[in-house]
Amino acid sequence: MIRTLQFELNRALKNRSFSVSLLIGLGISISHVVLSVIPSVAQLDNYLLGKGEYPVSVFNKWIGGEAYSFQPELYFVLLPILCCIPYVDSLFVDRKTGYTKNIYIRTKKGYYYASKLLAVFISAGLVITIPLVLNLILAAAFLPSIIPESSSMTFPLFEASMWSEIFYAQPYLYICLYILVIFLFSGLISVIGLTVAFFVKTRFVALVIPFMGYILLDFVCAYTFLYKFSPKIFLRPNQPSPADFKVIATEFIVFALITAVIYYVKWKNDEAY
Amino acid sequence: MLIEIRNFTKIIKGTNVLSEVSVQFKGGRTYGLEGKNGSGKTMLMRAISGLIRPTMGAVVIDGAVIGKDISFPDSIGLLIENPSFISKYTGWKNLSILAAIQNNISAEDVRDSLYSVGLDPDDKRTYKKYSLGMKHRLGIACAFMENPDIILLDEPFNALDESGVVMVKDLIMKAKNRGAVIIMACHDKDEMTLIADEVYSIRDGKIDSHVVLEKGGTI
Repeated sequence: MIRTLQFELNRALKNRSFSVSLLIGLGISISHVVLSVIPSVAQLDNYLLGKGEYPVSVFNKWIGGEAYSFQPELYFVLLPILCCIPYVDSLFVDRKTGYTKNIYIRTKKGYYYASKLLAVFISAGLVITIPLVLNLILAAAFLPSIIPESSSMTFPLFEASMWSEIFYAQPYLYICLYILVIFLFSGLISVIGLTVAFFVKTRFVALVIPFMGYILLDFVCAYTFLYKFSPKIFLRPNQPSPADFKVIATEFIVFALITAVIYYVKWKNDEAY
Repeated sequence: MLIEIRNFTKIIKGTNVLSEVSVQFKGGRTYGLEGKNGSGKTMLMRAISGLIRPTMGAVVIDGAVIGKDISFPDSIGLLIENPSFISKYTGWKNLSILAAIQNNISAEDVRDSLYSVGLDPDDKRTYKKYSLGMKHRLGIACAFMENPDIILLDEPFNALDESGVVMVKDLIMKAKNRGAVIIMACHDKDEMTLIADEVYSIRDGKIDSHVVLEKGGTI
């Protein structure tokens, strides 16, 4: 199993699609630093001159903390596409070209499918979270990491927001936890795409369906005012609508279970013609 | 090594692609499968390799039932239809990563496999830049590289020039001499009768005839 996983991870992380997706993410992340973080450094002057304004900080300026700029919006809209680009279509390609035959005869079929799933999950998680972490580091290089104060009204989280007590006490811990949530959901979205590959006739459809589902779910949630059910909303660390951990966890478990069952049934009965 | 196919029937979308096929293949012998396109030769190879499951019947390898006791034969090399590799990797890298899964041969063995089919392991061209003949040679090298006990070859001489054909024949003989079962489907009857010890003729998914060649195995 370890060797099959190494084989799949190697393919997932050392391919052009992974690099392209990562570059797009890094492009958005760095452009945010250049166009939004660096210009805001000037706002520190008033604070340094003792004018009493609460200073702008990493926690409301990094890409996950800022509410109203273009790059965070773009990043979280494109998230399902960026996380599917690296490796989601590989199963489709392996099956279509007959490459699975080379693998099946050298390892257990279950090892191959489990390794494929893990590789897709990990590559998606990494490709989404690396640009976020880089943005955080760069933002921290330009702006102070002053502990947020809820009374300043300059930070995005309200008392009702998920983990607000962590944010206002240990903001970096909050960000780490949120990045973990983003990693898990990116992985899940990509695994949904992987499972879709069993049913479709072109690789493009496997890439697009998770994105369409993500946008459709957001549309339905917005229409019914159930914003907290939309991953497009709750995956943003600044919580445009207060998130609910129970909803996030339930949504993750339900989608993961459904996907796992379909994936298992499909690979178990898969034949290589 | 003994492969037993017991009343193997495969129905796909209402069509009997294999019908009550019962046959045995023994180690140290070369078997030829002949028949028209769509007669069931390739499907029989897929059945032996465990790539398809029977609608009825079973494939038994040394007493182990495929799909029940084992998912796939423990030691098998195959070239069924077109070879398939990762297009952006070189031939050497393609074989190396596949060999690393089982990890029972060395890097030197992989290089030797490539030499044995006339490919250069240091060739920097990626698989997608290979000619049709080179792709086929790589597929042959992949089938033989781990010295498997069962070797399935579907049209092994396709796209090969004269030197390639000689190389493949040599590989088949070496594998046979070390006790492997070799099963090949080939449209060229002359080549097949030269190499095979026994020939099965398949028609409409059934074994139509079986011939044991007295001088089989000599090239």
